[in-house]
Amino acid sequence: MLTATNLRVSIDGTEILRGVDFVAQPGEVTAIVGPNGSGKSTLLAALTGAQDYDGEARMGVLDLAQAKPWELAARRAVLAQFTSVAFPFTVSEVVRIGGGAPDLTEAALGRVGLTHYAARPYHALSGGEQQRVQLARVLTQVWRPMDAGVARWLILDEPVSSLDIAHQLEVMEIARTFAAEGGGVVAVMHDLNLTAMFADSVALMAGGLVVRQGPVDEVLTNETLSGAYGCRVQVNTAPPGGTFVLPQAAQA
Amino acid sequence: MVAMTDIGTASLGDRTRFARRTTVALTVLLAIVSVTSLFVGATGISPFAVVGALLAGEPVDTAARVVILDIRLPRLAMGALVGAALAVAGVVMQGLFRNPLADPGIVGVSAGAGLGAIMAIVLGGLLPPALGAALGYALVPVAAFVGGGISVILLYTVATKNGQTSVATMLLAGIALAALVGALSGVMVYMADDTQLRDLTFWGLGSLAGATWSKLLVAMPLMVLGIVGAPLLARSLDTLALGEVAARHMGIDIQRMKRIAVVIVAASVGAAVAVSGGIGFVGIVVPHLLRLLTGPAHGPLIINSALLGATILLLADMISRVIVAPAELPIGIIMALIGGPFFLWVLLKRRGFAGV
Repeated sequence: MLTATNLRVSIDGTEILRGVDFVAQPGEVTAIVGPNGSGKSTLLAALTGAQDYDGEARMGVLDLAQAKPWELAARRAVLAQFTSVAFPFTVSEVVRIGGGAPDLTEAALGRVGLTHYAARPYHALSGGEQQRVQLARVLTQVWRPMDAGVARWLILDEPVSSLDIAHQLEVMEIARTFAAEGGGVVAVMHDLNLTAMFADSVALMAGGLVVRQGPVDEVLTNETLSGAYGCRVQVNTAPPGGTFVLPQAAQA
Repeated sequence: MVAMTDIGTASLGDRTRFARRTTVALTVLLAIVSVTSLFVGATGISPFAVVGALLAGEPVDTAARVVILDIRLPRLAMGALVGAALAVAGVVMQGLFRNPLADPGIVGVSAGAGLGAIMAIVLGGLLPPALGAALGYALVPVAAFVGGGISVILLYTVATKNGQTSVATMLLAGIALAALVGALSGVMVYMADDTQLRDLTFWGLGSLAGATWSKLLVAMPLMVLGIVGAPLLARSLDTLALGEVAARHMGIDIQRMKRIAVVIVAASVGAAVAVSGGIGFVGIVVPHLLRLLTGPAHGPLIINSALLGATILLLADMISRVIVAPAELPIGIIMALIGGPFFLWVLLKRRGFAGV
């Protein structure tokens, strides 16, 4: 279980997180949603050991404030919104940096649908393709979702923001599969529809707090979303069941 | 079974195996160049005759013996070590700064090490006699090591913020550093007496001419430390290529890695500068060529750079010995003649690439 209790972060005197409580279970996809500047990325940074904080955060038995980088790396992998690559690596060399064996490199590239890109120069790829290569690299780090009976974690910061719709679905399926096999997934999401489709639990953030966390239908409601995002948002249900979001309602 | 795993590791787009073959080829090349360099010089003495006679226990002509064993051999060892150390320092610095233009010579680290060496030469006599005696020949390399270390740390602090290096700031900081170091060196030169002045001038042009076994013995440990230590950083530097945050996510202790990198660069550059003066551009030419050939993965890059750096410096040294024989053109001038245009070519090619 990944938990944060009363997490506080201040950067240059500005309080970014003001006592966040957050929980994510292995075997589930937990989405973090909320408006720009609500603290999603900072929460993610704190949960991945990239940001100092007050309060408590734990990943299973690991205290995130105390854990060494290599202890964390064995337990979780992180996909950033954007990763800059400094030297002219090929696609498969970038994936290799994740530390997996060569056959894992191929398998991971296959998983993100980029098998035939292995020999290409990374910098010649489009932004969306580069992001999928990074996902492949991240996957090699936690290839088996369960390690000796303990869940590993896949932490994704806006994993689909630069992808077309087909690849958005593909990446979210990868996350779902990882969770279904026993791992835990935490993803910062902007697309509320994809969130509704793929998340087991949603944490809605606003003003440096998690204002509500729970199953999709409890969190993605007209009242909570309109309050958090500061605009009128209407939630509906499509006929076969499953929640969708209608931004058009703002203009009604 | 072995064959099967071998096929399994030949992943498409992975240049590791090609890099390994390159290592073999470069090792052979270095061996050939090393042997050749024993033959090249102002006198036409055959090293085979000397070695053969030594092995057979026959008396050897003293002049021939001195030329081969006490002049050319230490010079060969020194050239190889200096070339390897400078090339490896280049790779490590470029990895640390995440930029292929970070060369110890260009951004002022060599100049900083040089200032350390100059201060040791000019002010060494002012040390308490006991300390001076204890350090002996080691004084100049150690001072250069300290000077190089301070320069790298200074440069990194100025040019890097939150793990992002600004290339413009790095190069400008290098200019400022070089200017400052130049001024301080000027003060030292002003203070120097005639003998010291002659030493300084020749040393500053960059040369292997003064190589002796005793000099080598003192500088060797630092260079070997750098060359042997650098491969330990290979994985860290690979992950750092994806940024500091990503490297930490992959389990790297960033601060520790940076400290090791600074020590390696300072040791390699400091010792190389102390014994050979201002030999530039090895640290940018060699890694750049190898990245084009076998890719930027640091494991093979570090080893191959050491081999190619040694080879190129030995070749340049041979040219320096024969081009104006029986006099010598300082090797630093030859490397600058090759390296200057090369650096400009890299700059031209990179214009507009990935924000550099």
